[in-house]
Amino acid sequence: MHSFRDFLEASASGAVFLVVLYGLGACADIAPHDNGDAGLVRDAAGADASEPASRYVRFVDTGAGAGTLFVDASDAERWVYVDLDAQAEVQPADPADDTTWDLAFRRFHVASNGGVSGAGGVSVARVDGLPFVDVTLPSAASFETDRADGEDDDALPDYVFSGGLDPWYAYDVETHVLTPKTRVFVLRTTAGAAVKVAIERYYDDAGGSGHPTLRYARVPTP
Amino acid sequence: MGRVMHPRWSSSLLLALSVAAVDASAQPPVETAVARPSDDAGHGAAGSPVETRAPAEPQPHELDEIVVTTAGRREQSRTDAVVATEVIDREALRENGAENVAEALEDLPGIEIVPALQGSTVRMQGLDPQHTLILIDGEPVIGRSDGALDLTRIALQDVERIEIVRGASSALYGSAAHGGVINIITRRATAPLALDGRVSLGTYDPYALRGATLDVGLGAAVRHQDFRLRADVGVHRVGAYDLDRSDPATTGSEVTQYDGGLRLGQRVGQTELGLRLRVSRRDLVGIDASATGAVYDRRNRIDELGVSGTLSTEFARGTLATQVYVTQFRDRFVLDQRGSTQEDVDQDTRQRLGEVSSQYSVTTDDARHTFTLGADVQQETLLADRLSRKGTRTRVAPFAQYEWLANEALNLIVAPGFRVDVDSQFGAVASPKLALRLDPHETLVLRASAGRGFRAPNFKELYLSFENPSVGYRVVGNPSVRPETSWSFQLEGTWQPTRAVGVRVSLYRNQIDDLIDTALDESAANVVYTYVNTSSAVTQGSELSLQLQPMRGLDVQLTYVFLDARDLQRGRALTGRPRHRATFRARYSVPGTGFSAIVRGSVVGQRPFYETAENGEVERVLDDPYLSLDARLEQRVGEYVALFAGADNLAGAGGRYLNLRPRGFYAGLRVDY
Repeated sequence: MHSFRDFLEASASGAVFLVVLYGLGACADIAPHDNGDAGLVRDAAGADASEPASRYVRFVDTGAGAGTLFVDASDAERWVYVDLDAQAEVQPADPADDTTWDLAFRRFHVASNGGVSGAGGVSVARVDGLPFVDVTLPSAASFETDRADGEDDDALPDYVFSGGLDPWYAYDVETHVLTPKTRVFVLRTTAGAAVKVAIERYYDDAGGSGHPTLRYARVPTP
Repeated sequence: MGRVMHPRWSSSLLLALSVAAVDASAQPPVETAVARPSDDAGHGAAGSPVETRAPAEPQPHELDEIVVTTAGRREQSRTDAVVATEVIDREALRENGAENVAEALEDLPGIEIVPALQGSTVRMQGLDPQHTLILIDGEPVIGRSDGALDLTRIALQDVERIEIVRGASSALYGSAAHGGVINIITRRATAPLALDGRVSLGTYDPYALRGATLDVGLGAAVRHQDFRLRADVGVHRVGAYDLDRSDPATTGSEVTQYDGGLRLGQRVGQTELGLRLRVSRRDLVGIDASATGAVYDRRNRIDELGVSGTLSTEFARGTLATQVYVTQFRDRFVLDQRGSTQEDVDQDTRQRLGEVSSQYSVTTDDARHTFTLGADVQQETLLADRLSRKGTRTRVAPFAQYEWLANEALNLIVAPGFRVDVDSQFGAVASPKLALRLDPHETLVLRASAGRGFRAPNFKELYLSFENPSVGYRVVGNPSVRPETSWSFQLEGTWQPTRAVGVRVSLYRNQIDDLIDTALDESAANVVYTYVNTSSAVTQGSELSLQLQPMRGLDVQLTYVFLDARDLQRGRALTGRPRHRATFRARYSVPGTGFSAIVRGSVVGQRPFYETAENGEVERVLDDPYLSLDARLEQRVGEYVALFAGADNLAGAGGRYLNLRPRGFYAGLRVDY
């Protein structure tokens, strides 16, 4: 039938037309790119064998054992270990039985090398409501160590910094933003020194989470 | 009306469509108004116009002749339908200058067009967007984001009309038809040759080119004896806008869309063959900002493809129709964090739906009984990076509807219907419905219906696996979540004492139970939210609509809508629903000049929103009432051309809880040949 042939021919040519139209639209790829930005510290470092040991940690010391510590703890699986005495990142073979690291960071979790977290004998005292500069050595009784999980929402140990019902941050349920509380932690390090630290930020300049910035200073001991 | 092809059109457009086999100019014009002799055996001598039939195509200007298909899943005159069907026809779509389905629906007073995650979506009878089923030529549209289907995605160039049926319609259409059904009917060729086009340019931010809008649509149709072809292409662009300058984020994304459609039809004896193709690509570009200071360049690339084939055979008293439909939706979502790659996202969502539907409708000789029997077989899949597994399920759904003209004098029609959806994932759901119609007086029509609705849980509710790493909470799907079910009651009366006055009153109540909502999973060790059938909601209300023609050329429509929408679980009013709303529309065409003007708008009352305060308590915020106002002028030039100009959101409504496009102006040209 004449008109039925038309139908088939028109179907075929119409389909070709639409495929061409579809193809015209398939141009630029929309994948995310680097924007020329460095990205993560570890991304920039790459797999180069000469890369520095502390890819996740940067100390900016202003002298006399005081300064600022930047940590990239954005990886949800990996802990980043920091030795405050040596001002360096360490990579312990067995973190549970290691006496070099003082603090470990993973996302918003902060562990200290004592109690259930490690064998380094680190203990921590929390001081609330005092400006950083005014904090001195607390009494020996106020030092604690990381404990086994207690009454809270998670199944993780109750770290002195981030566990239990009173962690270092305040959580906004609407925006999911973590804001540090006005709190100073005084540590007895693995080397026996007293160091005070305060978590000042949780986000990097690009707004990425899991990037704590800490202020630190030596505390005179009698 | 038959037209001989004019030489000026013959070259470019038809060539572009590459339909070399069809050339209307080579054939004498076909008089569609006269039935062909072979169709008319027994009525006088062959070819003699003794018994000329009425035109085969309904005239779009006469309301009474509008054919609808949604109310009974079969073609019937709109005025005969048992279930009330609202129609926005081609003429109305042209008059209002709407560019997509969302804009077209703004003209219906009972329907709210609300902003969605992407674009705009629809809220019917106060129910969330996921409770309204959207169809194109009777086939479901996929690609919902958070339950809402972006209706700005569907361009109008190839749309003949939009049909709206309110109230639960699961007895005919299955899942997601709690609040109603919107069926978009595509155009098909009716004249030997028709060409139409539209170009519109506009801006809603006169100082920034990024606010420019462009809308182009071109269509061509050919009808040759028993063969029909219609092809459409469109380009649409909407600039980004920002209602909150305090952060770098944009409020509305920049949209660029290319789409095309093709519809073919061939009649062979009593059988009609049809093929329909629709493709589109849509790019969305915007900027997101998080409370942490992170800024992201966001892009979505949405590709859609729909193909359907139909086979419809007419018998002496009945029609057997079969439809095969395949559609695919792909949304690639990209976040590019500025200054870092840490929170970059590149996620793909692919959804596919295949459906085979078959139904048989038969009417007895005395036209008192009509039976419709049919079944839908459906298979859907969803592949998405955020799902723990590929979502896939199959559904078989037989349905039946009986329409009985019980009393001819009162036109009393009783129409029970029933459908069972048997699904590989959630089992069986039964949806009965009973509809009644009564014309106690020739100016008065009363309609009532009671029906069951349901919505199948979506794959996100079943299989989502999402973790927010910054604070450690997770949201996981619940594979044992059940479908939501509802009861819906609709009552409507229309009174048309004269041609110049029409009154419509409607009352409704919907109650949805087993609503799927997120809840904290108490059994989990960490903070885990999951989906459960926990909520229920009631929406009830009334609508009063008045249509007047106070003088020649002037049409006025006034509507008041009352809505009471409550969340029964939380014991409070549902978020964002206005209790009172009034809409108005006036169209004046100056007789004999080809000039017309339309002013339309709505006054929307206070809407409740809920916020969590610092102390963890939920506070209710009442947003201020607002006025939305549009105006449009049109001047016809000659037989085929019209010039138009208009303004949207003249009152500049918009705010924190009201994501409306800012005030905008446009002008353009339309050609209909």
